Amino acid sequence: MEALLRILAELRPDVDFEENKELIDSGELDSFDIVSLVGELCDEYDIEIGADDIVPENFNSVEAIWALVQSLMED
Amino acid sequence: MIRMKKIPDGKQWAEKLARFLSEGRRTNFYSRAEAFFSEAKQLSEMEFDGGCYLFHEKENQIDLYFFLEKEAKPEKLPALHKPLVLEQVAAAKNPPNLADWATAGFERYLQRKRLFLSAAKTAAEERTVTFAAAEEAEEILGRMEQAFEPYTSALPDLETLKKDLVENRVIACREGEKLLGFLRFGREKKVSVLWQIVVLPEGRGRGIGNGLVRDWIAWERADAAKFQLWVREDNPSALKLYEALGFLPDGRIAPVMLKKEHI
Repeated sequence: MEALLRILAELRPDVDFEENKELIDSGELDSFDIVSLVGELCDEYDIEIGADDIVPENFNSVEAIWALVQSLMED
Repeated sequence: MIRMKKIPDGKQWAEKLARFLSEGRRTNFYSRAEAFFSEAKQLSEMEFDGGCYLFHEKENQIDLYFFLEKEAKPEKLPALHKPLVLEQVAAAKNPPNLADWATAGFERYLQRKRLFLSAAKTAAEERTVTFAAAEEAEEILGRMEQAFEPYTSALPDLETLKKDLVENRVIACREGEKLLGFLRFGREKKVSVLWQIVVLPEGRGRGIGNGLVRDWIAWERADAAKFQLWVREDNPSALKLYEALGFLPDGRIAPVMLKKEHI
């Protein structure tokens, strides 16, 4: 989870990831962020994130992103 | 052997794109493939060792999208019949390797950075905000075309602009009847985005830009959580204006490169 927080902080230093639980629904993270984030997560955790996984529910909060990463690491 | 081919089937191509994404390829394509389906006739692709290019032909330019495997370098671009435009978005801390793109045939053109201001940091201000009218659409679009560079300024088409005018998304500054400046904005969920701001030559040096930005903030602050805009890094007066109002960089940059010579 530490690596995830570091990646997010580097990607968007202006966003409060602890507070915001609707990162996508509020428009805080946009498509640029998601594409960059998906690339970074694949690298860091050696996972593949498919198009079906790229839905708002999986990216609305740090917890949701972490749950997605963990589920893909188990696959 | 490099071959360029038209994309006959949008759906098949969308599947390919999803595969690229899941492979973690580097890209400057941030839209959903479905958003390009209606434009399929304007799309061509070029596959090469280590990657794939997607060309989107527009009236006066061709936009380039790339999908590069992790360590792959961009392939040299063929000469096309219109200028080729490459816009990337990146973190300022991890900028794209523009030298590789120069080798592939591009020249540096300009760079923008994104600024933001939290609505919570703005103070309530009583301002009388006036909007441009739908009848002014042609004049406003003409002024935008004069004021902005032609390739990546995200100018609206006339229909979109008319809709924005009707929906009060173009703030105007006037002296009597005469238009001195305007600001077009939009809302992306809780983020209010400044799309274009223009101060006409006869209005310059009179604080009109500052007034328009403050009008925008005053109008939107009750409903928006954040204000956002892109500004050219080679525009010091605009940077000074936004910084004075409290805008800060959020770490995003967007370098644009151009391949001008064409057949």
